[in-house]
Amino acid sequence: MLEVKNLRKEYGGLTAVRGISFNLQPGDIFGFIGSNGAGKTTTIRMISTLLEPTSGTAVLNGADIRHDPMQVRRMLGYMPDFFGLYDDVKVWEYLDFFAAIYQVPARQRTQVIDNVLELTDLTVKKTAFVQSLSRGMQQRLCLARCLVHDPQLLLLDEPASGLDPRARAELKELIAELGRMGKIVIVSSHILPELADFCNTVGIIEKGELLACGPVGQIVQGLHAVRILRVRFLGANGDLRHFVEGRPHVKGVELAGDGELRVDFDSDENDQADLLKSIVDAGFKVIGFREEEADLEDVFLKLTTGAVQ
Amino acid sequence: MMGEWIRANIGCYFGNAATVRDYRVQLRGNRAIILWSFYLLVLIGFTMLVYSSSAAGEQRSIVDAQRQLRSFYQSVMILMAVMINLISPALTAGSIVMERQRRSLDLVFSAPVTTKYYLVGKMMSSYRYIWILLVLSLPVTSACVVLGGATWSDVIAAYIILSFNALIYTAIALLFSTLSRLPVAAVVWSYAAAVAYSIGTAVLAGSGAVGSLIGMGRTQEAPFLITLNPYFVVQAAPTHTIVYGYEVPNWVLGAVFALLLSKLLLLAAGSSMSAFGSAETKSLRVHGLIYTFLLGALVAYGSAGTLAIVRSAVASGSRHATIWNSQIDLVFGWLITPLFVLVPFLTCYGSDAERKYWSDGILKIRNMLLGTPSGGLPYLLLMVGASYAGFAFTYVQLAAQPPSWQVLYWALGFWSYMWSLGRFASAFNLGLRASRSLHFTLMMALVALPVPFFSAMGAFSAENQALWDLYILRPIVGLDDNRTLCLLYGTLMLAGTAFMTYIAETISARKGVLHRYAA
Repeated sequence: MLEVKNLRKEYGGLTAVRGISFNLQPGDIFGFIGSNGAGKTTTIRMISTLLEPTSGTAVLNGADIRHDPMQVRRMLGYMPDFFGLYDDVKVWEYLDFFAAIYQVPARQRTQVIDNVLELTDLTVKKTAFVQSLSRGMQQRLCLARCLVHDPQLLLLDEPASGLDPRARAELKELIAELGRMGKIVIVSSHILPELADFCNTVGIIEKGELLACGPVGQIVQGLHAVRILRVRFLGANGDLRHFVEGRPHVKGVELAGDGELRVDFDSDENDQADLLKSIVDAGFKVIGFREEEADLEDVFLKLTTGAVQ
Repeated sequence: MMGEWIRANIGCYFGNAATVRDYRVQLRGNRAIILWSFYLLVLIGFTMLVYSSSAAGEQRSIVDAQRQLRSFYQSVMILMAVMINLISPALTAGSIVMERQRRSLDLVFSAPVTTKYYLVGKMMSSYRYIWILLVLSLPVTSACVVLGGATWSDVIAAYIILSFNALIYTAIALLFSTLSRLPVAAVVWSYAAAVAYSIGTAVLAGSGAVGSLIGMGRTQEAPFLITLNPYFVVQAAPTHTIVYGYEVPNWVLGAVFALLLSKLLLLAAGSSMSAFGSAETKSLRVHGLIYTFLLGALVAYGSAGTLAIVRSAVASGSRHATIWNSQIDLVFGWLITPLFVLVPFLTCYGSDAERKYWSDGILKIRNMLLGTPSGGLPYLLLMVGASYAGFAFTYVQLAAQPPSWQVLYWALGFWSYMWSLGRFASAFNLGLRASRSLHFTLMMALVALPVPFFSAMGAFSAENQALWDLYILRPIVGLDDNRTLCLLYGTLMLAGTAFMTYIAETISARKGVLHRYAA
């Protein structure tokens, strides 16, 4: 379990992170969303013990980043937004080096390297030089590096930046798989669609402040006081509009194009079902009835102003 | 606890991951073989050239032949010294700075790796390569033994001396690799420091030891300092020092010194890579104090011989006793002048990439070992005190009078004033490097710049003393009794310290850059 408690970082006159707190459980894939310069990387670097917090702390399975950084490092894998690869080194040598500094016993290293290469689909490149790999492969190699010591927390800073769509899809599948393996994964990005697909928890950060944090659905619901329903129907719309306006929990109705109503509704799924039943019972020909789901992009744009520090 | 410490150290020195990785890269493919072949060709070519021009040819006496073979051996060893002087910094200077540029250090230090582990690994990968080159040259040097220019014990001692000199060059380059932002700067500074080290040790060694050795017998007593310069390796190899009646080979003492110096340089490198209050910084500062004490004691011991002549002159009544006292004061005063290089690092604050040396107050004794700016002054004064203590300790042991308390008072005042210049320089700059540069320039402007001017007006003498009284280092210039001057200048320096600090703090407060680190 990861507990981030009031984490704060100041650089001279600049406060990069202003007291961030959140908790994550094994299996959580946490999307850390924010514009460039919002404080995502600083937060991740503090959790990874590379940067000392000005105040606050984070505790990973009982180990405090301030008081027991070495223990924390043994349990985390950090993948920055750059590759940091060595020249003239082969893929297996690169992984062997990191396995050694993560204190993986020498006799187990070959097996560990084979396993992480298989997981990241790089087995065929085992003896290739790292500089000869494509960008997507290098990214996967970096992820493989993070996995050599079987960490419980993965910190992935902008993992998909610069990747082509196929490499991006492969990476997403890999991260989802890591979540299924019970690891806590923190993924920072400002590309929202890529996070929405596999994150079950998100945190939105702006100017070093965590504006919202929690399960995706909960955040979306919390942001919208009313649900938006889309009702598609056949025939004249005037009667249906008047009918719907008079129903319980309906806060407003407007026409949204030909044969579709946009309904502001302030109750749960049961009342939605009642509303649908009443429309059908009244003889209107309904061909579509759905709740409009606000996506992460909507939430992000609504919560943030775009200001950077 | 002890077992863990032993395991950690064994892991650090044997099978270090950084060394293994660098070793794989260094020995990959044909490159290493080609480089070594080229190296051997140069070595053999040079040796043949020297041999053919000196030892071959016409008939000569045995003594002449022996001398020429000795000279041939000396040429080969000087070539080896040039080799380690050139190759050690080149191999090491880029090791950390290039990783920083590549940003791979973040990856390494997000793993459970200590700074010591990584720096030792980097150092060993360079040092091992130097050893490979030294071993490769053995066939060439063994030719000197076969021909009669040297004995095997000469060669072995010479190799040990060369190897620990290579260790020092490697440690120097590693320090500059951690301090520099660009690889080119790291290489340039490493070479500059290596050259400065070579010149400094040559002056130290050449002044007393070597002059008496060249052309004389094979086994002699000499200060071990001679072993700290690789270019004197032939002269240094057979020398020894008498310690409590035992002849200790100088290469043993040199090796101990080299290990201690390398450790200090490694700690400095580790401290520059770590955060405030890191174990490396604390250890560096504690080692700094101990070494300053030992240096004070060593210089006092070294100078005692020379000063004994003055003392005997004083005892016989041919010289005034104040000359003896004044000379001791002068030696102590000049001994601590290397602090000029160190003071900007202890004093200045400002922005430096991710590490922010913001002022956390003017003076906090509890921060003395942490590396924060508020601990700079107490630590600086403690270093002056440690140096004085080491100096005084030796003189008391030799039953001689230690430096006067007045010169200590002056030294404390003078270095406090130098510290206040650092605060002043920092108040004008936001960048740490700019602050340090301005601080060093201000100090040099006060200490070095007036010298040519005063010299042009008249060399220091009884007639020109009034002019030289304006010089900031006046209390440690001249052989007269300067104790009154020490008191006067010390008081002026302390008043100047208060004034400069007040100005610096006022400017900093106005710019709003003070005390943010503490916040």
